[in-house]
Amino acid sequence: MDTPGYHEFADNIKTLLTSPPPFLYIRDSNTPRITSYVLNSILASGENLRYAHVDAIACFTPRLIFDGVLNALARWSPRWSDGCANWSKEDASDEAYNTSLGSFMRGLRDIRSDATSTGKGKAKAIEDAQMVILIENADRLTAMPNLMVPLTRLAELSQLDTSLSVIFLSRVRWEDIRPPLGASPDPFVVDVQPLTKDDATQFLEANYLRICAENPCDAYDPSFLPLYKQFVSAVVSINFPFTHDPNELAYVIAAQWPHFIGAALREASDEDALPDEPTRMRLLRSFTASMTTAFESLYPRETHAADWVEGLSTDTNASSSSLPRMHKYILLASYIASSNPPKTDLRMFGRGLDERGKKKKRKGGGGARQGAGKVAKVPQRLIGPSSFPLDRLVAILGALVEENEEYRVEVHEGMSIPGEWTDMEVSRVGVLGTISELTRMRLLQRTTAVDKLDGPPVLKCAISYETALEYARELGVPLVDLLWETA
Amino acid sequence: MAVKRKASTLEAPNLKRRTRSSGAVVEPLDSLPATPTKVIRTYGSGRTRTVLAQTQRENEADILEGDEGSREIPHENSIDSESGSEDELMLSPSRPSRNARVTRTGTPSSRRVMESVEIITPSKRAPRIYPSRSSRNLSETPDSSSRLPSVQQSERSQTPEKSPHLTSPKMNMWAINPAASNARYVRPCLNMQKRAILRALQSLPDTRADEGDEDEEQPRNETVMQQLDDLLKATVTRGEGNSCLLLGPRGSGKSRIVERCIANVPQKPIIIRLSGWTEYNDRLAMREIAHQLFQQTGTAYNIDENDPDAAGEDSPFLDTIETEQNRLLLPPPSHLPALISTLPTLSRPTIVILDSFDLFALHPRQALLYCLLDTVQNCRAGSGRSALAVIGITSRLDTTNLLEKRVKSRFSGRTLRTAHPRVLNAWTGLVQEVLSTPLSGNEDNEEHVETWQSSWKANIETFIADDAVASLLREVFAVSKDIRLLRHLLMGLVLQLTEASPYPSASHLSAVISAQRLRLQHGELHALPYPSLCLLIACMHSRTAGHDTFTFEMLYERFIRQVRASTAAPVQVNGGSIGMVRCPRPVMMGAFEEFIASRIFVCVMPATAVVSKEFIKYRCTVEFDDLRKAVARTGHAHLKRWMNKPQ
Repeated sequence: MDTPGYHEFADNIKTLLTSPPPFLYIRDSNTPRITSYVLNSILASGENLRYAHVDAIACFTPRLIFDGVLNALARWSPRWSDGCANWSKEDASDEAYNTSLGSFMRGLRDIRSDATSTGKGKAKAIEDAQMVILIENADRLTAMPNLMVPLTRLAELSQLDTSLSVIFLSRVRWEDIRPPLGASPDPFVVDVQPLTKDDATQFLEANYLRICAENPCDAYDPSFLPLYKQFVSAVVSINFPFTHDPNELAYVIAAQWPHFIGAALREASDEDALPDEPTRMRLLRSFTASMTTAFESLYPRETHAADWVEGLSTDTNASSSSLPRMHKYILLASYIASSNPPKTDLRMFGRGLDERGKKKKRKGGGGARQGAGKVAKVPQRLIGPSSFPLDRLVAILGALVEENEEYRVEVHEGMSIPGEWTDMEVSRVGVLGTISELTRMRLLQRTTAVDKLDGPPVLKCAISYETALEYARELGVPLVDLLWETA
Repeated sequence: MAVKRKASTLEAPNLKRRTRSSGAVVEPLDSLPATPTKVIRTYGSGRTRTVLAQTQRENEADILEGDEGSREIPHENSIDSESGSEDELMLSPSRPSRNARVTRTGTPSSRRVMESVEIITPSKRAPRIYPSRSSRNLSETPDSSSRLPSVQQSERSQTPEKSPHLTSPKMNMWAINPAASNARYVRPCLNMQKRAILRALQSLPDTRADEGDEDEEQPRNETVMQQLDDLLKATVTRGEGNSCLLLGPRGSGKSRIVERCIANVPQKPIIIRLSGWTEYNDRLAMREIAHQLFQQTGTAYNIDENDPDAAGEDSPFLDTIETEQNRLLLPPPSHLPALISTLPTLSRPTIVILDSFDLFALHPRQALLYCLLDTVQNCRAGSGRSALAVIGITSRLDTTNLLEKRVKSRFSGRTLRTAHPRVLNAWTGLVQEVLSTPLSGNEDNEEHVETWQSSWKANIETFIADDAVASLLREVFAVSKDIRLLRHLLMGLVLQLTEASPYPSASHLSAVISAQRLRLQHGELHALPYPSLCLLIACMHSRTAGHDTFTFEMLYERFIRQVRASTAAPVQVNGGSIGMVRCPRPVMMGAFEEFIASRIFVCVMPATAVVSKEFIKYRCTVEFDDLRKAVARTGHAHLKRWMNKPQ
């Protein structure tokens, strides 16, 4: 099958593969998976050609790459029954090919020479056969520095010269992963052109026919194709600006199509016929809203297609909203501690004996005035929470609780200073236990090592502004007034 | 506005066309109008009179039959110049009409005669002067060629004439060639030619810098080859121990020289090839030496079979039986001197080739180099032992300085320097040689292949002689003399050729230079989806504000602010706001992660578990100018406005 938008690329690659350069770099920053598929189908259909396709994500050690390449080039598949042995030359091989680069290259040479001993007719074929090694996600090879350079000069090092060609496929530019000091020869670079809207639409339509052919079911029937085309063009026109990846669009469409075709068949006057044009337009209009919502929840994979169809959405906050009151106070205090500079605590929470309840905040509004030529400070909530020692958290927690909680027990013996009771409450072991519990729940983050003894533990807030606002509303805390920088 | 047709023999009612502005019906008097020079137009007193001189047309008719392509070009050009005007009635159809063409080919040429047309129309404009063909310069021609494929669908026979350098006189000569117009064979011939050239590119011939290189009697590489040849022969025949270093820039032919010299050696020596990239420590090098010795001599060189730490320790998947076998081949590192010292005891002389010699100098204590060079030094001619030669290949200039004193004193210090060709002629000669690779024998439709080859050859000559091509090559040559770069350029050049423009030209070459050598930082920014472009613009504004590094939250904040500002105006069109489209945070986050994956955003701080992903700081690698051009190219008005908005 010819993939839409890849005609020119496929032509070029086919021409190149007749006598390929030793090192080819294909860069596709948009749809590398489709490019990989196209390359595979070209290589598989190539005459007199043997190829190995390895993914550098899956093959994350040199040994895995060696095995993958050699088995694929020798067209050998390891079988469970004989111990999943890798390919090896028939006559008394004395070493494994995957131990080092040297043995790997010997393996490559052996694959070429092996056929001569096994069969006469086949021998000729493999002697002239072009060997191609396609490495997908080649940017991951940077994790294996000893392997990267030899792979790029493999044809020269293995002395297979023109009969071996290495193709890297990556979404990263070659300049970004090139080994230093010019150790690798520069590749012949082929850029894959990004897909257009029409290409994406054609891709999706071809996809439909493929599904119909491979696993036909009620919703996927070739007779629905005209309606499917209309549906696809509607979805593409809405969602194409947000992603150009046909696979993502296909996922969104697959979630909705059975519903759409179901509704369409219900609307149809005749049993077997598709609805007429006005009905189709009305249906499409009624589905427009759900096309957007489907994309917004399915593209980031906030939920999966089956759940989305059920109308379920996994609520991430479900567990945290049922927290006890003290937990929420601690989280709020941590949010404040992470957002406000430590110097401002006294102004925000400091209460003398006489001025209880009065809030001191600097007048004049806004943050620091920005002088000419000075770089404006980025608000703390944009650069992430800052860390704070445990003592500060407890102090802020005390002030919060003191101001917002009413106690039934008014007077205690020996406690004359206002707030002394609260201070005692918040420094109880239970509170400290709660803090470590919240740390385990990752609602607080501990930035110092657990086994560190000197100094107080340093923590960091891990809840978002929205969550903090919600807790504040529940507890009746005026959070916005307590933050130094206004949002 | 009215049009009267006074006399025309063309009877084709289906060819009626309507001009856009006036709606007046104009009959296309001839689908194939005369060249602009043959049209006489009189403008004045509100009447336009067009007279086509019958005699001229009749004279031309014969020539034109076999020569459609050369006629086609002025046709296209005249349309170009006319299409801008709305008031003027177009005597020629605005597009080459398929129907018209069919009619024309069906009717004899005498029927196309038209005496005159009188158009009664108020002329508002000054008479237009049609640009003559010769005044069009090269830069405009790609435009006309880009329009051509649509023409070709109707008639394929014009293909060979569609080369972009239409102005070249040589081209016209070939355009007239009637056989070349047989375009059905262009495609297979072109494909065959492409394959032939690609095959030729796999094994480039030596550069011959014979012309214009008078100051040097012999190219440097040939001298080096001679010296190395002598050296190896001395080792093989006279039993000398030799060491030398082959030094030269990348792609200057070091390995090629070594391979040729080895092939020239009279007696077949044992050859051990090591590379600093694959054998990155002495242990691997030892194993490799042992392997290669085993393969070439058939005997395993094992020193001590009882050594417990013999081998297999870094291959945990091997079971014990295999380890027993392996030990025959793999000596432990401590036996390096013993292994190397066995080399002179072999029956044949040995040549050790050390590729990336400088990397071996970085091994601890340079043990391998020391052992090898020490053995070389101890080789005595006529002692009955085999000789050893060590050839180092490197492109690093200070390699000898890297050697330790004890190693350096054992090294002969002989350094052979290879070099790139020094004059451009070497390149142009190579380009010509490769591009004019003959097609291999093909029995069927041989005459077409011949025709193709002759026209291809002529076009290659034009290509080589082109000043623009020469200056492009000179530019590249001035920057890099690496022959591999030239190979890539030629490869790209050949791949660019299509049926529509089957011959290479200067514009092809400059395109391939920008694709292979002067690669744009980020070429396809304009094709990015909307959220990605928004992120990049937010990045630029963040950079302008002095924050080179940014978090996702910072960019998203800028985006939200911009959306809010653009939707603030209470204007609605068809019930929808005309402001920027909102984009939910997870979708933006998806676009952000795509950028991280394609390394357009580079992380500037170590990723730790304690920082959540929206607060990790990144740097953007896209430059302002690239993005500005890309945004302009998308034609997205909101993005353009945001891009240019001062903040």
